Amino acid sequence: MNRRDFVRTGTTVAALASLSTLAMMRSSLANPATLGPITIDTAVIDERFLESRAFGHVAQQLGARLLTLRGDVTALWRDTLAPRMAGGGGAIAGMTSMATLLCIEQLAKDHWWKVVTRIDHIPATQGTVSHRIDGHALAADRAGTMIQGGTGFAAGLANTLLSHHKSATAARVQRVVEDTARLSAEARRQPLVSWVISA
Amino acid sequence: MRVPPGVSSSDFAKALAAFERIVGKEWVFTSEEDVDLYRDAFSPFMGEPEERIASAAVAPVTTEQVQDIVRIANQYKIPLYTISTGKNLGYGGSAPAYSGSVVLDLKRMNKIIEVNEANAYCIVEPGVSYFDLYNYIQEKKLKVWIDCPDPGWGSVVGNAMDRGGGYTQANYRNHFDSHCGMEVVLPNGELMRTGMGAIPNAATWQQYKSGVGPWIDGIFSQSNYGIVTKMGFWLMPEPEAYLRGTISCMNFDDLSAMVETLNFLENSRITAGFPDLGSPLLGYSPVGQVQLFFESGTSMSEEHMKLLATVKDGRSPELEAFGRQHNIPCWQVWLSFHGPMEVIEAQWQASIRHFAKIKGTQAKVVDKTHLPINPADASKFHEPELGIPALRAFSIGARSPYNPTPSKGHMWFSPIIPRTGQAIIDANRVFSKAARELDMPLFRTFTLPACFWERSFIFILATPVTTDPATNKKYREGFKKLIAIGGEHGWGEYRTAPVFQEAVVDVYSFNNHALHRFHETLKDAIDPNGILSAGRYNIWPKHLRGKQS
Repeated sequence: MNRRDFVRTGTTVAALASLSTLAMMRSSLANPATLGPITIDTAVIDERFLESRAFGHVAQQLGARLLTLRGDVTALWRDTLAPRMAGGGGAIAGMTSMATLLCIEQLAKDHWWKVVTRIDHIPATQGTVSHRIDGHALAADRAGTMIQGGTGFAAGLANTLLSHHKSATAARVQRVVEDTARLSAEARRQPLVSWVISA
Repeated sequence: MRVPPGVSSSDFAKALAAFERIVGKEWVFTSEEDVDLYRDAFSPFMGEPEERIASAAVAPVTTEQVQDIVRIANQYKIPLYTISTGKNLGYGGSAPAYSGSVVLDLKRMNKIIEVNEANAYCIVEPGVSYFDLYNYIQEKKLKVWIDCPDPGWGSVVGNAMDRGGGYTQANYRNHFDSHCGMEVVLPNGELMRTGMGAIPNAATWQQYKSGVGPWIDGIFSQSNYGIVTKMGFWLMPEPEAYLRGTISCMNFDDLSAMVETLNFLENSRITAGFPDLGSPLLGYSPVGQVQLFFESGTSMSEEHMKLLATVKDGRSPELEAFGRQHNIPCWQVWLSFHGPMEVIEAQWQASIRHFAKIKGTQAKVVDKTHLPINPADASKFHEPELGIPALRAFSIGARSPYNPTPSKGHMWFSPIIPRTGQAIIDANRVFSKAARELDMPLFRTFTLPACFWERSFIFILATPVTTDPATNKKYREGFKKLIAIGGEHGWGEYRTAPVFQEAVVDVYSFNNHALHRFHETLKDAIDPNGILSAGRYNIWPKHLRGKQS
């Protein structure tokens, strides 16, 4: 939870960041990431989740190659993602379980790829969802704005991440956005995360 | 830019420039974002100042480059911390034991030098992962198996150097024991080969382990005396068939007899596959079934779940009566066999005969198949038991209906205990009492050990890493107390993260820490500048000794 700015939005906006987290945020912004704009040409989804399928549908419409899994990432990693990362190419976006992202993130280090944006979709107590955004400015900012706009977040995030990482700046943004959207039962049981991983 | 402690900024800059000349500018990493890739994702100091963090990283691609880097490190007294692929999450990941070290990342050294089918061995570099080796063997249709841990994402060399284990036959499961021959860059940059490899143009480097004279391979594992750049491993010839079955018994008091019988069968090589212990009655899954539990949940009835609350130190007369009434075994041993079908069927029958000496045992075949299996069917099995690397273990610990509050990571508590039923009971009594007093989420139910090693048991328990520093502090301190309590009973950890290595090594204290003092003597002789992996397994160079906590 370090280097995150906690900003709650909804009916009202209230800054909840403690002094220490604000200090850490300033430290983060003073040391911008070295990555610049990136192009995403591949999307990874977990077919078990309604939200993930919606994410993939839009990503595919936007021209991304769609890769699917059902819980176990072994075959996808071994047969497709590992050779894909070894060969370079554009960045990869996804909406999967957090366990799957942990796995991909750790394995991607073998190719010095890193997660540049992640948005955790945490079920909230009232049946709503809390989006914890940590990523490249513009894409992350637009993601927050899109979620506040009340459209279906899964499809909207695919559109936002694939469109705005092309012009994202290197600085990182961290924020939390509360959303009245209802998660599917599967996504409440096993929270999802949207992500972009890049060389 | 971070700078190693005790090194001037100008010397560090000169060293980095020299590293760049050796490996190329693109393979020296100094930006915060790049160096953060080497942080331990499961650090128990996550987000705290004490988290151990590298200053930079350098990634050579040849042994000669490793030698040159080591010479430069000696010149400028730069602490290096060697990793292969850095996947040992729960045991430290790729973060250095000594903050500010430059990570020497060997993952670009990923050549599979040889896989010899006729003599069933391989020689690999440190960056070769289990997936790489498995894929290579499959592509070339070679009739040999690897033995891999679970998950199988790490380095073959790295896992062996950290003394990891796997799931096939006994003589392959201990990954360090199944190696044969090393090539090592010494702290002065010199290159050495061990065993028969010390003969120029050796003809049997991977066929005879010890060569002549002192056999020194062991000193390079869990240590900081050298950088292994090649390593040989014995592979298992692809078996013709696989059989796995369970032997169950109803009574708590049968545990010792079950373990004694298992030991006899294993030590006689009547069974050699990975044995697994479970307790359907106590709701404890065997290691190979844990992921299924987290994916699918329990089949226990509500009444059964309620009765579990009556268990004390594994025992409950009410629960045992319930088990007998509903034919739910108290203990279940999983046995597996690899080989010709007629041989493994005979081994299975012999195993049943030996276990039948325990009254009321029941035997059941779970899997019986000719090999190789159709790859599409692999997920029906616990893949590592068939030598197939997998990532399904990541369902363990993920949030699910059966694990509603997953942690952010874990640190493995993994003491070795004797291979007896009584030791299982004693360890549960000791550790569960201590864990309750320390408010640690371990041994809350009767816990069974794993059987990776032939002659001992090992508990492997995940201590959570959370997002709350106060909780992490409590768990860190509790973890150290559990290590010490284990030591008081003669039990020691087999492996641990750098944060706990001092506490673990402290348990091995016979004759005023004679073993550790010998390790330090070796360190001073071999690596007088203390440039290699300072602090690994609490072996500090002289100039840092006693200054770390």
